[in-house]
Amino acid sequence: MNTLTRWLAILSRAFHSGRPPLRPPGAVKEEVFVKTCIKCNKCAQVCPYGSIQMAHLEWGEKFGTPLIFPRRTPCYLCMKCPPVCPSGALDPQLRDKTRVHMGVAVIDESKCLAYMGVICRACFERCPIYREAITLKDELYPQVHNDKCVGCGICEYVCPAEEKAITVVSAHAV
Amino acid sequence: MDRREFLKATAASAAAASIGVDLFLKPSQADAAAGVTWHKSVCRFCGVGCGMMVGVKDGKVVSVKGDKESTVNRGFLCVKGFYLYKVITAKSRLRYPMIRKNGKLVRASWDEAMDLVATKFREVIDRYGPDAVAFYGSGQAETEETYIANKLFKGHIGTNNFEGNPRLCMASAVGGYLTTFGADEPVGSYDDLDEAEVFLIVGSNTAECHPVLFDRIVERKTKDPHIKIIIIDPRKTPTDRVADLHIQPIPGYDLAILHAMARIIVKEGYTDEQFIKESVNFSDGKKKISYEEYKQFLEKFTPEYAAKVADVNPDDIVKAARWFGQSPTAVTLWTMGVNQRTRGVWLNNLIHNLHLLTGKIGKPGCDSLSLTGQPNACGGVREGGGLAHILPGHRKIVNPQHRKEIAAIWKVPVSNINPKPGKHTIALFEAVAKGEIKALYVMCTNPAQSLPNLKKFLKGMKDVFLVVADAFHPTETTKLADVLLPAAFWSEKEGVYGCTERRSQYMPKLVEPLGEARWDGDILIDLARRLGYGKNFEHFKTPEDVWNEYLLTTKGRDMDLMGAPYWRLKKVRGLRWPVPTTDHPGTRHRFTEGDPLFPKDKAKGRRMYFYGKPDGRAVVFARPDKGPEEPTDAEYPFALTTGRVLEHFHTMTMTGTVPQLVRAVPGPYVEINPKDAARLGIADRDTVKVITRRGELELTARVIDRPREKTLFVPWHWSEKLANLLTIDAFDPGSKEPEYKVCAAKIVKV
Amino acid sequence: MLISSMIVKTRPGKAETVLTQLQKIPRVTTYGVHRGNNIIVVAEIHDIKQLENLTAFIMESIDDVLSVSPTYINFEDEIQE
Repeated sequence: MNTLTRWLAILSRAFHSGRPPLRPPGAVKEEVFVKTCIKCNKCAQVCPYGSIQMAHLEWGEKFGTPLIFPRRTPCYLCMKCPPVCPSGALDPQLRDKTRVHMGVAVIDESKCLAYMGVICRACFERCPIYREAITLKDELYPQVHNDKCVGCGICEYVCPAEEKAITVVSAHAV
Repeated sequence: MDRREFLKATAASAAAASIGVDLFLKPSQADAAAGVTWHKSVCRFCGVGCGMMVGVKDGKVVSVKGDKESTVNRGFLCVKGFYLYKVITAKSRLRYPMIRKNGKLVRASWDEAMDLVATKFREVIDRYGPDAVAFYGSGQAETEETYIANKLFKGHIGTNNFEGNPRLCMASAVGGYLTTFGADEPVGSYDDLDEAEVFLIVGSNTAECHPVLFDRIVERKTKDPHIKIIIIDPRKTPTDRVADLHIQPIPGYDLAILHAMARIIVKEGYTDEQFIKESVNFSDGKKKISYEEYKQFLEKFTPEYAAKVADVNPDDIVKAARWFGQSPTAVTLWTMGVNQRTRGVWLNNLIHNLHLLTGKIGKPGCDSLSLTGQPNACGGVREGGGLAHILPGHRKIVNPQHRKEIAAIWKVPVSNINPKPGKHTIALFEAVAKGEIKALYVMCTNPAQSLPNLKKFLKGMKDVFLVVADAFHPTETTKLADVLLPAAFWSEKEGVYGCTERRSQYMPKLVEPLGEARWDGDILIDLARRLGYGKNFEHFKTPEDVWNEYLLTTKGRDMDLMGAPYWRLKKVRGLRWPVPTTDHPGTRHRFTEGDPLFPKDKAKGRRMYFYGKPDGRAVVFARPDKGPEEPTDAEYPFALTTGRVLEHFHTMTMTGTVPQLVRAVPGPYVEINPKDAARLGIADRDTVKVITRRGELELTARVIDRPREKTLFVPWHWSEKLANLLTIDAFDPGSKEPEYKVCAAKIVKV
Repeated sequence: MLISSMIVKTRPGKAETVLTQLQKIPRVTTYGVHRGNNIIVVAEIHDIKQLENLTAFIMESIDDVLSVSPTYINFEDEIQE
């Protein structure tokens, strides 16, 4: 492996910062998910945005299961994937995007432009659970509300800080 | 420390830096160790005029931070400004001159390019007369640059076909200030924001388009929760979040609301009768009328009438008028929602009416303050005379005395200056389309994306001999050019910007221009020389020489800048004119005590004397409440309005080069109200087609409760989806500013 | 030998406990807790695979770790080989 590919490997790991990846909307608990998912790829096929990627070999036992890396493409909550899941790994009844629970966004105030005195509202403005999951304290400082945040990762994707100041922590951490 | 320890320390420092921690050094030591020097400058984006500290290392701009000593932004920046330094070295910077050969733009030498421009311009001028050439400039060019171009085109070539993009942005505000107060630009300043108890924000998305000022308003509200913020805007913008009252009219029907507010103010006795008696005239636009006649005119505008016209709640109008009237202080802010209208000047007048009737003008916490969209629209173009009907120093072309004064400074016979105003922007580009204008010089702007109803103008711009001096390529305009001249960018040249509050600020040159780029002023002087006018430009060795000559045009004028030479501007955080001498501190409120031009003898005890008017009185106008040029109908039931987002500026030639900003707003879209969307079966992120009588555009739908029902909003940043293919080119008969903010449209799911 | 640094982010109030556990890992040096809950970690490793294993190990075996973000890697020695 030459230096370049190693850097690429590092960068791709940095895409999810060594964190467990997100699962598509409606995913059951991680330990059940790995056993239930039949790796049929249907969720990835129906996703209009290419948000869902099937795990490569490096993911070991998770190989072939659907993952979302919000820095590459976040989930836009179109809710097309849960109904097509034949295995029950995704709850086929789930339609309401506000009831999705893929994870929760965490703001690192030391990296966030707003907390540094730069007027930026990118995460707040693009949040699909608008004005609920993320609000602005004093109209300046973004704050995440864990009970409303669905973990779609759009905020992480749009964050214009040099190093992402808002990241989604997967609800499927194991 | 051995090598391994050193590597570990380096690694740890990198990690620390990523969380903004200096592991081994204090910040100032770190700067010094890293060789970064900091220089005072001004932001390149909007008209707020934020002070910036620019960090330079090894001949490169490596960082910026807000200037804590700036009274404008007090250390704050918005996300655009924060990333400005990255634009300097963008891939899309134009690095060498280019000439179109066999339909293709190819690299050329400066000599070859400038010779071609000069030969072609000379040929056109000699064959078709000076009015067959034209100049189209920018509110983002430095005052010095616009001044040189002005001197060349109006004073030497002898054409007044000299326009600039502020026509598309500020012209109605100019018309409003001139007709109402007799002099362009605001009476007050940003200081009034910190003391106002009522904010009336009309047609302005301050939170996104002037974020630093919005923050000042928020700070005011946080400190003093009793202050009231009233918004009149068809769209719930992010500015809305701090509003105590939002009146959401149908786009284009807000004139009646302002009249209705005036009516309540008069009826319920919130007027300042003393002030009206001393300092106000009334007019119906054609002739002087009496106060009584004005009151009768207002009779029609009951809250119910205005509410019906604009489809809003009459109680809200009453509430707004009472808050405005009862408060001892009030500031009104507006931008393109007011200016970019076929009745933009009238709307400006109606806003000023409220302040004049209540005497809320020319004192702390009171002002009708037009927010500017570009960093130097006020400075270079309005003050510098960069439009077809004006000359430097707030002078008019039609005034023989004004022409004489400028001709003397330019050292040309007064006959050189054509006494007839040139073509305003829309007429100018129509003349280009018709082939009447055969050579066009565009500087620092992108009209092939920013003009309204683009389809009408693009072919003409392709056919005309088009010279574009710009820092970027490709843009929609450079794609059509015959000659491309690479221009130096912010921090690669020195000069002065004048912002919204009459404040002129100096920007230093910190690094050498990229590639073969040159200062626009230098390019224009070169052109002047090649056209045979070199003599009157030879003494411009530096931008400072240009500024010093420009200062002479301001001497004794209402915008006197004689007290603002470079040496002083380099020291201070800008100066607000009038500033007639170098020991004068600048002016916070015009037309009153403290303004060096306030004529105490004429005022005879009056609080304000509007010296731009012969009798010192400002005018309250009884303007009819006319609707938009293209009202909605059964076929085109939606009102389409365009605008900006926080992260991007205008045609994205700058912000589009910063990956972080590009990601922050992933692409073009159209906002539609959820009720309309439900009715039409449109879901969020569906692809839809927006159609007007002029064009159509496929966009991603953003279903969001922001535009009112029957209204669509499209940001106009993206060149791959030109919002201006849809907009209408109808313009205000007074200001000639096009009505970007209202036209009729329909939307269909694709 | 490669040298890599990373930020280990912990749940609020758990930084000290995580720090103690990190210090037990061989060839790992910590550079203190910063801004509340960020631990700066420098690791000496053999190859990239080992770095991946290490991040996974920190993530999965130490409680209250929210994220591990690699920030820097030095290849110099290896290139000289």
